[in-house]
Amino acid sequence: MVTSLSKLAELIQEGSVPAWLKEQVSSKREEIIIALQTTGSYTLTGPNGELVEIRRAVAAAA
Amino acid sequence: MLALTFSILLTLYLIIPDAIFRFFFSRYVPLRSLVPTRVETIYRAVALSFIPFVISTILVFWAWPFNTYPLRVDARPGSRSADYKTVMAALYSEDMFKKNYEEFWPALNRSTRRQCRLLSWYYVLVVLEGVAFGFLSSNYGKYQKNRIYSALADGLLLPNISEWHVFLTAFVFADKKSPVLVDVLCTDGTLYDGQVTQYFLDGSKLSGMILDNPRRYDRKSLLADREMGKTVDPNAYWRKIPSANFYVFADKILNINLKSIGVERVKMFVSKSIGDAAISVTIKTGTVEESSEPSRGPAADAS
Repeated sequence: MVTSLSKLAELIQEGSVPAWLKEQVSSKREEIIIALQTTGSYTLTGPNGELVEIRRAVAAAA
Repeated sequence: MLALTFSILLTLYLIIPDAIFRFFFSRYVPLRSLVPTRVETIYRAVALSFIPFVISTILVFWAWPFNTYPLRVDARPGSRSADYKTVMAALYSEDMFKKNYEEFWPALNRSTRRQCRLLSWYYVLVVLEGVAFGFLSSNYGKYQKNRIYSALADGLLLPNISEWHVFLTAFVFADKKSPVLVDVLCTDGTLYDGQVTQYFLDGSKLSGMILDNPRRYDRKSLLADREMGKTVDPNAYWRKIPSANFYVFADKILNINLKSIGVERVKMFVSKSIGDAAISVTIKTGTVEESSEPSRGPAADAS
């Protein structure tokens, strides 16, 4: 069987957004939007301590 | 004699360029070292050498200084085909060799110099091709959406790259800082996790990898606490291993669970979900659940 590396690459890319992050973003959507508008950033915490900080691009540039 | 000449030409025009290409290509990304079939070898060599060969032939025939240097040939105009005819006839038939003995050696000398000149420029172009392809391959994540690049990658670039490089590095991501996180289950039942910083190949086989911020899962304590009737949080049983370079031998690995986080992909997902494209995302990994100290893991950023 010939391994298709482009298929493998595609699978890795598709799986590169963790399930916990998808769940948190979906359930805290409003909270995130309000936080970005008021404080300019919002941090999501993963089950293993991963921190995903979302910032408004303007705030990031400043 | 013709068969021998054909073999030499095949080596000079296909096998050596293929080796040169792979050498320079592998400076950027590790290559697969599978043993291809003869047909695959010829297909790959022809596909890779076609463009450099055509360009070098055109240059050597018509463009200065390629048609003169290196190995200048002093001969009357139009002598090229006559020289090749003399050489080929002599190689084909011993009678022709004896008949044209006096003409043969000067013709062979000129033909050899012409061929060496062509080969010199041809090899230079193969080197440039190897470097260009290596550069393009190492930026797969960045250019893969380009239709021409995608066709090139599927046909020529990816089949030459080690699947371990695709799997254990941020190769597929546009942002090379995207952390490559793995769970590694070893044959003795121990589960480790960490960020892959380096991997090692023995030919095409994985021989080991180095994990940064490694942790070991304390399953024994989890089971003991469960037995005692405690309410347990499975994520609280990761124990930090005090090591900056934790080496895992591949022959002790039962399976690997890839948990890579693509910074660009996360940014795209979050942007789409909240309907705001003007955001940046920073990912930090490696926090220890028992510790109150802030994350010391590497950070990746997509702005």
